Amino acid sequence: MNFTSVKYALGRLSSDENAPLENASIIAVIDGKTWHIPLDPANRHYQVIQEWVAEGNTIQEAE
Amino acid sequence: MTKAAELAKMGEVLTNSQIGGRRNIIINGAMEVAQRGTSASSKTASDYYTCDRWRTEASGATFNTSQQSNTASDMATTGAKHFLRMEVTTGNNNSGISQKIEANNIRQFKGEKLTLSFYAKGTNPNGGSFDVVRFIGNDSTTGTHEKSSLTVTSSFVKYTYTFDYPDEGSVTMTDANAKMALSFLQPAGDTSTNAWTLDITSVQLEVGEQATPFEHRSFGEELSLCQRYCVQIVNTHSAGTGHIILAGMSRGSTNKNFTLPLPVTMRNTTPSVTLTGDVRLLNPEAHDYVNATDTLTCGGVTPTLVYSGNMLVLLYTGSVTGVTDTGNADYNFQIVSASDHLFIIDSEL
Repeated sequence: MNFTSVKYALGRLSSDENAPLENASIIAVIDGKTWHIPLDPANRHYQVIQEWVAEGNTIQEAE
Repeated sequence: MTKAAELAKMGEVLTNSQIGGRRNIIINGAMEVAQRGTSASSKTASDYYTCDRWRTEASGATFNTSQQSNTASDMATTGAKHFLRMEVTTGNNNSGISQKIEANNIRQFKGEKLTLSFYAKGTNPNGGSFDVVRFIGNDSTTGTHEKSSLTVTSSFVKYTYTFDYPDEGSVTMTDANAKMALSFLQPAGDTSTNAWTLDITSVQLEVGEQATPFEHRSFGEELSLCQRYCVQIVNTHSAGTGHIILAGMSRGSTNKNFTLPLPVTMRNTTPSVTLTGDVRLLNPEAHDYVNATDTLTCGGVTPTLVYSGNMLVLLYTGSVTGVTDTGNADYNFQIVSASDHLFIIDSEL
């Protein structure tokens, strides 16, 4: 897969509106498509991103 | 032959021919379903491009891949309307196609003989042969790779291989991503860059030592099996004629939940999502909305995706810029109409 952008997205992992925002997913542009990717080792896109990170790349922090 | 002997013989044939029940472990073996598209060109990355469940392995190669229609003559030979073409323009070792069979569908056959059959034609890598590879694996561990050799010709021929259920090694077959992978590859030891083509269809993997006739399933049934791994929702209305609307509501003052019902229960609880085209998050009561293109992020808020049963929930936690916060009120989320707008939920291995 060819990545042009890989960035964390903030969210709340519960419906509690007072819960702090945290990294809840990754938004990655892969081969020209924007994917919303959960932070789950069982997800194939997440796995590929981890391999990409292992090659020395960095996931951008959420804005 | 007496009547009793005839009946006994018939029973023997039925048993040995394995013609009863669901036989084919492979999904989309006849290459009928192609939700993502029917062709992809000049690709260099491994991914799912055309026929559902069939992953193309790049491994340094450059390739085109497509779902092709058989000629009447080849349809008579193969029994299939379509075939998958993997056309490698610049070869490399381990490039090819594969299907990853989730452990739930294969682990019960440990200790059994398996028989693989398919029709193939094309040109061989570096003028030699392909490897037909099978192995058990999860994310970090694989068992033993086992392989057979395949040499194709320019005409469709049926090939049959019988082998033992692969060695699991130390793989835990209840892991979320445990699988058996079945691949058709340029051999690991062949790093030539020569072009080659593999056309393949009517792929069947079954328990036992005999290749029985290909098990045809209805298109709807095959599509449903594929949707466990990939659901594509296409808004086929032309622009302005009919949005797909997900019902939603706010909870508290800022949270907004939208529910997307899926046609089947998907393989894992954390699929990836991508979309092409415009979406809209709307507060009907306040008559305001915000649009987004090619992303679920609306008004600065990216939803958390919560998968439950066969429902995907988009949970927007926070105030969406451009949309009024109304507590405990109806909202909706729209996939705006246009023929090329689509929504893909991916749960492939």
